[in-house]
Amino acid sequence: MRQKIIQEEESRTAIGRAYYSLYHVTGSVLQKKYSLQLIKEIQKAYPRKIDQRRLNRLDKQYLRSFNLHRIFYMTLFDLGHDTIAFQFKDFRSKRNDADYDLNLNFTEDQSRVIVHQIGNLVSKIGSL
Amino acid sequence: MITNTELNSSTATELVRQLYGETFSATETRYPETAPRDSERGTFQEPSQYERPKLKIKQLMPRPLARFPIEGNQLLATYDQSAFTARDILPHAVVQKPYEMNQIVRDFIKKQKRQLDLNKSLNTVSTRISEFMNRQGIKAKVVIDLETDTEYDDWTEPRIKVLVEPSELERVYGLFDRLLDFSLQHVRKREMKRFRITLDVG
Repeated sequence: MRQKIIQEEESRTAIGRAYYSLYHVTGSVLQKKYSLQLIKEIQKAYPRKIDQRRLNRLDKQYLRSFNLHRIFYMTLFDLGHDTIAFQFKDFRSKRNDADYDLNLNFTEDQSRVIVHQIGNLVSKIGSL
Repeated sequence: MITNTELNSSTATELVRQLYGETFSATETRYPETAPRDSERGTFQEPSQYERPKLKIKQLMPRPLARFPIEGNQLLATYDQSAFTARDILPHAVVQKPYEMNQIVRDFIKKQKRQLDLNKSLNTVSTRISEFMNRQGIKAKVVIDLETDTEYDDWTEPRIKVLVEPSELERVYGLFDRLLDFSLQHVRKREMKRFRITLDVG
C-alpha cells in the first residue's frame, strides 16, 4: 500500500500528540503507584501555595495549577529513573519545538522517528 | 664497593664496550666526574653516601618556548625543520572545548546559585557526549543553549543540544540510554536536575 505523504504541519501535530500521550501515561502511573512521591515533589516545588487537602486527594482541577510537566520529570528523577526522566524532558522540548518554533523544519522521517521513540518511552513508563 | 682499578680494568671496559658500544663510559654513568671521592681509600663514594643537589622547580620546567616562532597555536618549523603544535609540548596549554556555549547561557549561569558546580557539570557532560559520539563514529555537534518553557516561564534551564545528521537521528535515539549513562557518570544528582539533554537535527 502506498504511504501517505505527510505535510510538515501534520508531522508537528504528531509529535505534540505523541508527547501528550506520554504525559498522560506518566501522570496516570505516578498517581496510581507513586502518589506519595508525587505529592512530595509538588510540596517541594511550590512550598507556599499548597492546599494540602486538595493535594492529598490529587484533585484533578487543583493539579492543573502546577507545572506538572516539570513535576513528573522531577518525580521520575527522584524515583531513581534518571535516563527515563532525561528522555521525558527531551520529548517535552521536542513538543515545544514542534508547536512553537517555526524556524525548525520537521520532516516526515524525523517525526516518525520521534513518535516511535516516544512510543517506546510510554511502554517503559507503563511498566514502572 | 667497586674500586677504580676494578672499574677501569681492561676486562670490565671491554665487556661494557661490547654491551653498549664505543660511546658508553662506565665511569661517567655510575660515578660522574663531580662525584665526591673517598680521600683515604681513593675510591668514589657511593651515590647514596652523598647528598645530591636538589633541583628547583624552575629547573624541572620545560625549556622556554620563546625561541620557537609561534603563529596562533601552531609552532612553525624550527631549526631542525620539524613542525609541531604547542599541545605536543604542553598538553594542557591550548585546549579547545568540544562544544559551543552561547553568551545567553553564560549570563544565565552567572546569576545562578552554585554557578561553578553548574558550569562544571555542563562542561563535563558536554565533553563526554562529544567523546561518546566520536567513539561511535557519529558526526555530531554539541551546542549549549538556554531554554525557557514556552508555557511555563518558571522553567528555564540550559539545554545541551546534540545536533546530528537527519539520517543518524534514529540510530542516535537507539543509543540515547547509553549516551545518558556515559555522560552523566559521577555528576551529582542535584546538578543533573538543572539542565536537559536533547537530540536534534542540525
